Amino acid sequence: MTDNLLLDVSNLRKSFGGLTAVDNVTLKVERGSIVSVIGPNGAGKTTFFNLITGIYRPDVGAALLDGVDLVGLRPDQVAAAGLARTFQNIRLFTGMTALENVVVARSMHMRSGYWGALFRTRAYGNEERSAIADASQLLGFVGLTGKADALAGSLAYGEQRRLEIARALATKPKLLLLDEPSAGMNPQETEDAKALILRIRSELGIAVVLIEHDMRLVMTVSDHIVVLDYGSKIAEGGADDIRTHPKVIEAYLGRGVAARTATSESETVS
Amino acid sequence: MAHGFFPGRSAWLIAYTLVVTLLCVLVFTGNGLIDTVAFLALLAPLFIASDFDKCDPRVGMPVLAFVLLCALPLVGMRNTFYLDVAIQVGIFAVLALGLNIVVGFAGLLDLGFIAFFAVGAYLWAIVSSPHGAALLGTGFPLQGDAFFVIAIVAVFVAAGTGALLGLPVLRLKGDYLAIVTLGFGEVIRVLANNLDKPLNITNGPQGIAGIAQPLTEVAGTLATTTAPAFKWQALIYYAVVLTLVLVAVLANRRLDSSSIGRSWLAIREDEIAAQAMGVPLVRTKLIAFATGAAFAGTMGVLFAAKQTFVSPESFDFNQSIGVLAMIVLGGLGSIRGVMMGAGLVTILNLQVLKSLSAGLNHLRATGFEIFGWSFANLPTQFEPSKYERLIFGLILIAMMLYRPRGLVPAERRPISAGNAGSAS
Amino acid sequence: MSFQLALELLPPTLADGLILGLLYATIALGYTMVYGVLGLINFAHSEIFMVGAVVAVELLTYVLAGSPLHPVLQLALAMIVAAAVSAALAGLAERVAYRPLRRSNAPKLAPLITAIGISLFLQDAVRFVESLFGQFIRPFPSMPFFDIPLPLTPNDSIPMKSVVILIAAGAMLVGLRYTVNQTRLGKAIRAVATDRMAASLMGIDVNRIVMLTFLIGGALAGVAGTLYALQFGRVDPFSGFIPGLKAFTAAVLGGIGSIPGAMVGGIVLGLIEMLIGTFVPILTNNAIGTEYKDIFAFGILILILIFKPTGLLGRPSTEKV
Ligand SMILES: Nc1ncnc2c1ncn2[C@@H]1O[C@H](COP(=O)(O)OP(=O)(O)OP(=O)(O)O)[C@@H](O)[C@H]1O
Ligand SMILES: [Mg+2]
Repeated sequence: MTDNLLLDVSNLRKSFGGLTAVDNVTLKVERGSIVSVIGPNGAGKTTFFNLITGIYRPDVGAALLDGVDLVGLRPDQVAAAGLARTFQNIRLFTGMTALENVVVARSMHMRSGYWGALFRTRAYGNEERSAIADASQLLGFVGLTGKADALAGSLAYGEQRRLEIARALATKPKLLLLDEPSAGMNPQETEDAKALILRIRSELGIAVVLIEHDMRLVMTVSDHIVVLDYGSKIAEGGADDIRTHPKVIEAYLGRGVAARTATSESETVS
Repeated sequence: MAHGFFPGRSAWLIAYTLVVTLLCVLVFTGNGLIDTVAFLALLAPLFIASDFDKCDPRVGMPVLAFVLLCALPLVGMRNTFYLDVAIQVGIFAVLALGLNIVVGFAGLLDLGFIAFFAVGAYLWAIVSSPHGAALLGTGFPLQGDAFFVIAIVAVFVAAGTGALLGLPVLRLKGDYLAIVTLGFGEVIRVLANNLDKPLNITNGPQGIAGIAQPLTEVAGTLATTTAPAFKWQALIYYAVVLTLVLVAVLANRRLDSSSIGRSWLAIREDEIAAQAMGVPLVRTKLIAFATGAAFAGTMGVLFAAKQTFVSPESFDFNQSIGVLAMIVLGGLGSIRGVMMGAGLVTILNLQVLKSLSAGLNHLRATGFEIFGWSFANLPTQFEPSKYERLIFGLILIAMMLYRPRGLVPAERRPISAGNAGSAS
Repeated sequence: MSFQLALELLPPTLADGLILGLLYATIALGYTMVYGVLGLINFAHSEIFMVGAVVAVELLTYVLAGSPLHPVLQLALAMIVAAAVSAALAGLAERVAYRPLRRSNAPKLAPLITAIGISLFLQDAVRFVESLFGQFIRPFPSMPFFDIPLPLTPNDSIPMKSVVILIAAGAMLVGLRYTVNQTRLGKAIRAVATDRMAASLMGIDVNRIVMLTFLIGGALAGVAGTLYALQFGRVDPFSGFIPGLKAFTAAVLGGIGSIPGAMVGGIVLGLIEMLIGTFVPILTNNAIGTEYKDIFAFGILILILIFKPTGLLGRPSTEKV
């Protein structure tokens, strides 16, 4: 309890048929830190998120969030335990407004629920009002103040990414998992995303684990970087360690994918 | 918020309502088809006046109140036929509103909904009939006064049955629910038909007769020569049904616009994202399923009392599909649409098809000729009232292909930062 | 019940169970294949089966009755026509009702609701047409050849039709296995079932494969309908419902989406149903009669869904997130 360790994942493994998508991955995240998970396409990064958020069940391994074992929990229980996430291929509730998307994620913190809603108790009204107020505030936090009543599906791509972050934050997480928050963004939007990630830590005190292909973003925000390749962790450390790590260079370059070094500016390794 | 409010339109609405009411009170033809049309004409103002986007509530509300509280009872006391149809429409409206929560809000396809109606109906039938007394022993049958208590008990019995059935299935992909409910409807029917042995619980295919009615003394005291007790009894049922319809509408609206309603919409749109945002999937679906079942269970109690007789026939698959057709026709998730669907399908089923059958039979019997072709040649099988499935089937297919959101598409009123939970 | 009696009842019960099981399996294949490629429960499948049965019975009654053909040939002809009609109907349903919904962004429930609609429509449409000519409950015409008893045990026999059904349904299943495992078409079907998107990127015409799947499933249902009518001696517009529900249970029991699963599930369910239907009434002194056998089948469905929703041979599928 007293230690600084927030997320403690050990020896996680998951196979799909013959393919081991995540192989014996261990990861520790300290309170207030920003950790990045990088690796080539198909390395198992998203699967790793899916494993600790209860969407897939790991074959072996453990994941403790603040001492709570996440393995075997349902996704909603994981969310309740304080772990929230966004999705690589944005999964908003497109038929709901931006505000409603965020309010949905507050439901689990509402006590008066079903009967309260049926009988419109005072407690229900208060909760509803405070949930809406919080949600509006979160929309402001991610820079979507004017968009509260717009349908989520009608928002621009970058706005949808930010809305997903606001929605995840509404669950009041201890740790936020972001799956490629800057994918498909232009340099300016990426800059904004970076600022947002830093503010999540500094203003809300929430730790972040981030999957990213944009190396400049990764190198500038991360306290710690973990590199996956073919499901296994091949390297970890600070930005400088990773930049020069032979295995990392090999993983990215040895594949015959775009021959760019990890240090080249603002390029996306993909 | 009087946008779209045209004084002229309101005047027309009021005038129309009054004229139709007057016509219905004064002119009663006794011809099924014409009466049905007149009745539909009387229901039309309800539909128009409840559209508060187009009709000023200050006009709409009084019109609604007038039709429901004055016109229908008045016309109904003059001619109980109308009252009967109104009660049937009301019963099915509540059923449809219940199913709307399951299918329209939560997106779960329930094909055996009428099973919960049967649970409620048999519950009241058994505790309040001589047949049940033989089974349950001293203290039974319960008198009509127990009706309201049992109606509330039925809420929980039906909800419990729904939860038991839903629990194993709701964690699986949605399609399984459809087939399991389909099977469950069949199971209930088989049980109703066969549980007359070893212990006679349901009295099998003969059904249970002599079911108690509520408030018979009240109807008796009010009786006069012009308005005998049976008319008052019908009026009492009308009042009870009307109350339940209002409760059902309110429950639908409140649930839809609350956090649970948003959770239903969220899981309908994306189960995985909803779960990841902390929405418990099974629990949320189960609440919808059990709530729908509860509506049906209560109406079952009422149905049994009103008919004073229940038998397995009243709860066959056609009924489940009929209720589904109502909500698909009106518009999944649309409260006004669902009510309209309930009205249209019930009247179609109860009146139009029967009248058509009767009419054709009449033409056939008299050998009426048209362009040298005699109706006597019309095959005896050509009886529209027997082809409910054909009609329901066509409604379902046509609506899904051409108007999947129904005749009156649902319009959600999203919350906004300004009006925190103000919908009533 | 004496042990002796049980021993005597067992062989014919097992034989009937096997036959019923093969019929369920043949119907279940239609559910499972369509589910495999589209993830849709084709509720209309039970009525496509029923139409096959009706067509076969009518043909045998009115067209083939006086013909000099051998009864087996008559049956084969009826079966072929029934299969063709059922296949055409299944294809029609796919073309006019399901495919349009895949393109539009209709509500998720739309295909399911449409499927139910088609199913209801077919029931009453058949009833109407049949009624125009008289009774809509149609007996299987008397064909004495199929009743010739063949010895099963020293003191028990099975009728010829049982053997015919065993052979015909068995041949269908073997043929389908071959088609799916060994032919290009089969490969394409499996590809579409595994990943529709990827299959279409590989140049497979997905709509064509889906259509072929409906046609194959429909044809099998037509064959099953013919044999079902032969076995049970009658057919009516509503006689697809219960076998359809059971066949679906068989598909789930075997693992929905799995072709060998549907076969195994069908046979297992047929055997269980016959055993329960025969022995439970005896054991309970008829307190629980044969009427309940449908409820048992339903109970089995619920139990599988609770304890092993992937069925006997199905593989757990994890939706990619
Ligand atoms: N549900 C699943 N079933 C089968 N295979 C899967 C499933 N989910 C992921 N995989 C496979 O596991 C491997 C890792 O996939 P994953 O999505 O985790 O990669 P990633 O590192 O997130 O890649 P990208 O950078 O492209 O997002 C891939 O080969 C993928 O095809
Ligand atoms: Mg990924």
